[in-house]
Amino acid sequence: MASMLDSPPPSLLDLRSLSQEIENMFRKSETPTAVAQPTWPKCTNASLDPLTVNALLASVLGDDIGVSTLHATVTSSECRVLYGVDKPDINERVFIEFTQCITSAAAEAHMRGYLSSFEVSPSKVAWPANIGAYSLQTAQSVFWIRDTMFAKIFVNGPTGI
Amino acid sequence: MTFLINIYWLSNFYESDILDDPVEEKTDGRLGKVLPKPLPAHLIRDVAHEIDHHLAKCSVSPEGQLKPEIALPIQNLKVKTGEPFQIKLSTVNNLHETKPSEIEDTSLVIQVANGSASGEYTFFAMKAGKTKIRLVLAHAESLAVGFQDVDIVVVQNTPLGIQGPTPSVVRAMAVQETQPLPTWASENEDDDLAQIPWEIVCVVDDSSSMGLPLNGKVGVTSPNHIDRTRWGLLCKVLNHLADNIALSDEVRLDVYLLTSGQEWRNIRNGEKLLRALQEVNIKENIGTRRFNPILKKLLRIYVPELERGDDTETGTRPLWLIILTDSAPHDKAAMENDLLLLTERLRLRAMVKLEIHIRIQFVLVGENKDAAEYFKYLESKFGAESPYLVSFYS
Repeated sequence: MASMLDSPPPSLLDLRSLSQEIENMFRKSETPTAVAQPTWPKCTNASLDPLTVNALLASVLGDDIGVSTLHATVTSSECRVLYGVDKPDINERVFIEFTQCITSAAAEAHMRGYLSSFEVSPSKVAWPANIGAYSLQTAQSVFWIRDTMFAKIFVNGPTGI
Repeated sequence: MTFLINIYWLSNFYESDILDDPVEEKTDGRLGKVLPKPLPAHLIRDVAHEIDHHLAKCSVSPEGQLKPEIALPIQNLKVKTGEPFQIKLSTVNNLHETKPSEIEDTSLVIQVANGSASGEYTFFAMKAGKTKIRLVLAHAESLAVGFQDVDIVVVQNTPLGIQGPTPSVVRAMAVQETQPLPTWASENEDDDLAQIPWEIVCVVDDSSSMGLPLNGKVGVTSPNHIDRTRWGLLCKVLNHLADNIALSDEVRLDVYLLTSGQEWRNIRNGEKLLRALQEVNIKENIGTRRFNPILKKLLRIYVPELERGDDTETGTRPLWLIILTDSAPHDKAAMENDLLLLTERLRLRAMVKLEIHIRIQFVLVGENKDAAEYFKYLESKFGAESPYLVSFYS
């Protein structure tokens, strides 16, 4: 924190290079197989309520998990829900956040925005995850776009939610 | 337009190969218990794949997406300032429980609750004018969003017509005497409160049970000994209170009878009030004891006055509502709902730095233990929210 406060504010050049890096990273996150997919707009009807999420995750993490809704934001342009997944023998909470957007362009804007929030250069900590249309993963998170949905899974989640 | 700003940050990045392998299981040396461990990184990817597979299976065209069904019986609504209002959806199938709204002009209307499972949005009208409310909904499963706009016209609220003595008559009734305030009215209060120019409004239970003796035993006291009845005690207390209030030009006293509906405003003479009360035939007032109608009526009269702060005739006064009764009301739920709405309104006004002082005090006459328990419960429920809002005295 001290180093952040001591460092000078980013110059226009820094911001431009950061913007360029995010764009490069976003392009790099495109799933190769997705290129061949139809380009017409698609949405999802996948059920994403806590019960369905619980059932989906139980097949990976075991039956002893508990999914709870931590936060929900609904606006006229998006619906965002944050679930917390707890497992007795795991000392970390897994967070899953779904942002259902109106358009896929809005979902892409969310992913770019998320990349810009990284404290370090995204290219140093993230690499393609090859799921959905665009995806990246870090050591402790995976985030991707599928149709109009921007999804994030992470542990040691953002403080302050 | 709504701007949502979210701030995320990530910290403690590790090289992926550190967490790729399952962490070695550790045990508590003393108990031999397996300690919790971090989540292996490959499981995060597996979870992501599982979810993405689920999303991919259900891909549809935008036209085929499950959208929230929105059915509103109205497209426009006329409401009054100083009052809460609700807009209820007529279809509430598969809707996400979070139901916010986007209000064009939040200086006129604000939302006071984040929607309900039964499809209700609750608002509060603050200022006169026109605005638009966008009711936003999400499908409970697909999270797809939808909205419906409602045009709102907020008109200035006019307090209900006040009956009773006109101001000139009231002034003619005024007398000056010197006696202290009754102890039941000032007990447990800050000394400073005595200096506040309260608008004291007494709601007096005039149902037939008030004719019973103080101890509740029928037959112990004959009707001729009205002083020993609950009603007799109340008459004396109100007489005493009115005389004391007449000492001050600042404090005002209004009295409303619960069952017969009689009312006297700005009382300045205890003797005249006593005579008027003694003429009330409480034996005829048989029926259910409902506080909700009178409470609603009084809040409609007094709270907008406080919120506007433009009562030029009398100056804006804090409201002290005293409900004197010998039993618990029959319409508990309705009354509690009114108190809840009032609490919400006061909280909202406090948020915009407009302090409105209202206190509601229940005074139990007699020895009805069930009623005492109920009023204690009310005090704990609403008094905790706002320490002076609801209190109880027996």
